[in-house]
Amino acid sequence: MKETVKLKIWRFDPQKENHGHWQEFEIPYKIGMRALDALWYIYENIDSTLAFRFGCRAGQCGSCAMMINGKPELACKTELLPEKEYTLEPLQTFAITKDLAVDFAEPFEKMKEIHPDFVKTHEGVQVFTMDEIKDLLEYHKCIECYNCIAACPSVAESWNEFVGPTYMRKYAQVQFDPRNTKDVFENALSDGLFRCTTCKACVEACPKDIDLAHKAIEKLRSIVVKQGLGPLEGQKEFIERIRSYGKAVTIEKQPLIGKNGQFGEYIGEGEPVIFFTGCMMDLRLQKIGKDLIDVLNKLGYQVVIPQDQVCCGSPAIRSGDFDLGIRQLKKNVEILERYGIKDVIVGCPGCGITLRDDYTRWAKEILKRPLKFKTYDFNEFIHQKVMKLPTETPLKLKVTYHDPCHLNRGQGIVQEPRDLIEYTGSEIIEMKEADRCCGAGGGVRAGIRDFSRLIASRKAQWIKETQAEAVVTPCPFCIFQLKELVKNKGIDMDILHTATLLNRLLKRPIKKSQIVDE
Amino acid sequence: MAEGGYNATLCNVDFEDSIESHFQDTVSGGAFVNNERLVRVLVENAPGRILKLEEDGALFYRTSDGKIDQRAFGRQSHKRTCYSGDRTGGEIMATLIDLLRASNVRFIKGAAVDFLLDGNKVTGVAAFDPEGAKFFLIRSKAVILTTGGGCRIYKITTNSFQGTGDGFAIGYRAGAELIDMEFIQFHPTGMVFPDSAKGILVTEAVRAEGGILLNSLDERFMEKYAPDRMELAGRDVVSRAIYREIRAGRSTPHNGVYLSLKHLDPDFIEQRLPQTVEQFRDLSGVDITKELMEVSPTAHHIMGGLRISEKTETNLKGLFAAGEVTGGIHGANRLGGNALADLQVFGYIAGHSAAHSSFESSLGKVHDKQITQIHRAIISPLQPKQDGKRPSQIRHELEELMWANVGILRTKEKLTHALKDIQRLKSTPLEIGNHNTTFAYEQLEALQVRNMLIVSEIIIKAALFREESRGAHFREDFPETNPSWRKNIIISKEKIHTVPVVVF
Repeated sequence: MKETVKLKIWRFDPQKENHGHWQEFEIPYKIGMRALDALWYIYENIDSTLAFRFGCRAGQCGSCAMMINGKPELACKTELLPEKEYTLEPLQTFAITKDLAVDFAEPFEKMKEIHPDFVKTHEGVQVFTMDEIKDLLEYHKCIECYNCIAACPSVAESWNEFVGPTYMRKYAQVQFDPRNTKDVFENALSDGLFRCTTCKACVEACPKDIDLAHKAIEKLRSIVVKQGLGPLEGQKEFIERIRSYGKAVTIEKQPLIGKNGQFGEYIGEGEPVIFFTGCMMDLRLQKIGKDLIDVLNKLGYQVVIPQDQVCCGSPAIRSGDFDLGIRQLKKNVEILERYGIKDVIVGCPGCGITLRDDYTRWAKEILKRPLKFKTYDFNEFIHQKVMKLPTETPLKLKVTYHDPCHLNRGQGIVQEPRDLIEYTGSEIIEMKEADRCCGAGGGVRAGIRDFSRLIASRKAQWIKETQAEAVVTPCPFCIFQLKELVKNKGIDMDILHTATLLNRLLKRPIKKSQIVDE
Repeated sequence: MAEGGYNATLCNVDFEDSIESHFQDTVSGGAFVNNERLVRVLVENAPGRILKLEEDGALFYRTSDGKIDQRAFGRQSHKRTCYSGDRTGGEIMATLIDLLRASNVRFIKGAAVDFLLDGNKVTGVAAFDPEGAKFFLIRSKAVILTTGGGCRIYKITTNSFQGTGDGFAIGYRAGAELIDMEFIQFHPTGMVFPDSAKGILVTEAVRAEGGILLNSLDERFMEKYAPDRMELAGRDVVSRAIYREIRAGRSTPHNGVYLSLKHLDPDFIEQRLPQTVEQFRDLSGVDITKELMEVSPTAHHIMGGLRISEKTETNLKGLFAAGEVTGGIHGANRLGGNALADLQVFGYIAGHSAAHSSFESSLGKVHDKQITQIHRAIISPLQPKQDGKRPSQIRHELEELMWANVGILRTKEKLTHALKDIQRLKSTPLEIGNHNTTFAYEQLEALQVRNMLIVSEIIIKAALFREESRGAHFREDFPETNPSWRKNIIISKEKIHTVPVVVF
């Protein structure tokens, strides 16, 4: 029997029917086969009424954009494997012409509508170095496939209020082109610039790997902030707090660290690692911070906590206040490098992405040198060691896992936390679209609370459907957002950090002899 | 989509370059049958157009002193090819679309089917919109034909799905003269699998960086064909060598030959050929730092097309044409980097010429009888038939027979055989299974196949007529270039004849 590929394709003719339906196909597999090959096979051999768009077949025209296994992809670049099943649906958010073909007239017209004027500085070709136009060329790579629009959780809630990633890319392209004299950041602002959660679903969906979240959204926000038109009122509070006392949140109960803190500088024995707590674990979720310290101790690490560490600057950077972000970077780098310890552990993906991406980039640009430490997410750091441990009395919890955007797309950490959950003897019941943004990031929760809740509300049903006992998500911001969500929707579920789960499992310190080193 | 670049004598990198040198390279590359007046227009206007594109928002790569960078392309005496990474065509297209968005130009979606004619004047276009299965007419004082190439008639081609050559056929049916249709450029290396990636260009840079060609017996066969320059011999030489190996049965599982980088350091490959690494990984799942590539020559560009004047006028009144659908500029073989320059230079002229001509004329007549004819041709494939064939079946047969008989190596026997097969396919009734009123793609395909058959027939007739080998046209029965054949073949509905080369 020859190898085959199974496809479930959404069929819908809006001219003839009110509802679409799934149709299944099983077709012969060929080496190297792309989704577009499968569609052509069906068209030529099984059903020529199947509607789908295509063009260059080389990832350059964007016509074959569609949802493949729930994600926006280009069919010409998506490999199919034998004996696997794939779902193919039309690109989300757009009007369906028929089956897999959506009507691109609307997004195309929208690009015409928002089309910013380009007012030339002068005639002729300008002298540039490649370095000066490096970012500009990245904006130019866009092929307008609109995958990013289909991927965007903010667009999904309201395309009227947030015009979406590629349009913001267009604004950035004109705003940051030195040949153009006319500012367009105000257009971006009125088109919903502050409604992006920087979840990077657009970056993941972009076939040209354009860093839309950073290079379009955050850079435009920084101009808006410089001009005094931002950040939003709700965001100003935490920015003011960072400015005045170094932390983004108010002090309500005993902090984890610092003058009145629960923990001193050195905790436990063993190989020293630095714990960068971030504001949330220091001032809001101290219990999780303690769990994290316990787990590290039990795994044989000495936890070193710089008591004077300040907010990483993420809330400022995401909402466009780069100057404040750089101030925080300078302070923290000095503090963290003081110990001569190479490994810095974070339990907050927001801090993680900031220390990893923004600090690394700015260190190069501003400090003109690489950082002397390396940042690891907690899950990633302990993963290998934990996976070598003997099994403990299983927790036997039924949990579902929510992927924090800044961990998953931000740092590429997807499997590690899941492995850790399974190590605790708990079962993971995957929810639908586990990696869909909860709406808390990018300053949206602070700035536009209603909109943030609206984005979150999509997840309520999916979480409920799993019938799990708890949601595990190793991100303080997601934990806050989801706690509020389940409370408001009357769902009885705990929201837990992986550190908490592990601390419940690991009853006592692990002896060195128990850790199998290869 | 054009990736490589745009030739213009900006002299940013090579101060020795000149308009005259660009002219000479183009004409000698074209084996001296180019229309030299058109070449003159091309080389003189190419720099101005690219500078204007930059002013309008396009961005090209820079030299270390901040000017537009220029690199060396095949068979050119100087570094004159400007580029924007590997997406030069995309950069130009995006810039032009932005200009259109800032204007009040209206976009109408649909495929041109035929010209409306009043005598020998084009008075509009009959079009078909497959999305609504609608037939509609556009009346117009002037029409510019810019439908591009038609290498989809070959089973292995670099062209997109839309490269079905409709413009050649539409022009031909309306009585336009076509020139140089026997000259089809084959690039030596294209991908061979999966089907969706078949023919997609594998850049010459792979061989320039040290890639070697091997047949299924692991022989480095270029030793036989071009012992001196080996893999870096001229494109036509390498194409013919690969084709001969495949024809002799020394081919790979997917009917190509191997292109190997395995003797090179993986880091070096990643660093020097990042786009090719990505291309093979994304489109076929092959890791070229460890695995062999399979490649075959791939039909790339039709040098021939509608015969135009320096103002892009055709022999039909009111009809202008620019880009790959025209002929005469590139002669028997086109230089890399000249296509983008061609379509920018002549596209610009065509816009001006069409605008001027429409200022001076009024809307022409539309004849009911002709509309009825066109409509019948469109709807006839919809009628149930005995012994009919699906458009995709006919297309596959056509692709195969063109590849086998009208490709890189031609003979009278094979060409005559192909012509017979085309006649058979032309008389085969088209039957479609898709009677959609939304997204009637198969109906559009039926129209394209009808055009592809005509384009193929024209190419074969011209190839039979030219009893010599020149540029991209290679006749095994006439392997030499014959100086007395330094002339052009003109084909129209009425006749086929030769004309002397237009010299400057």
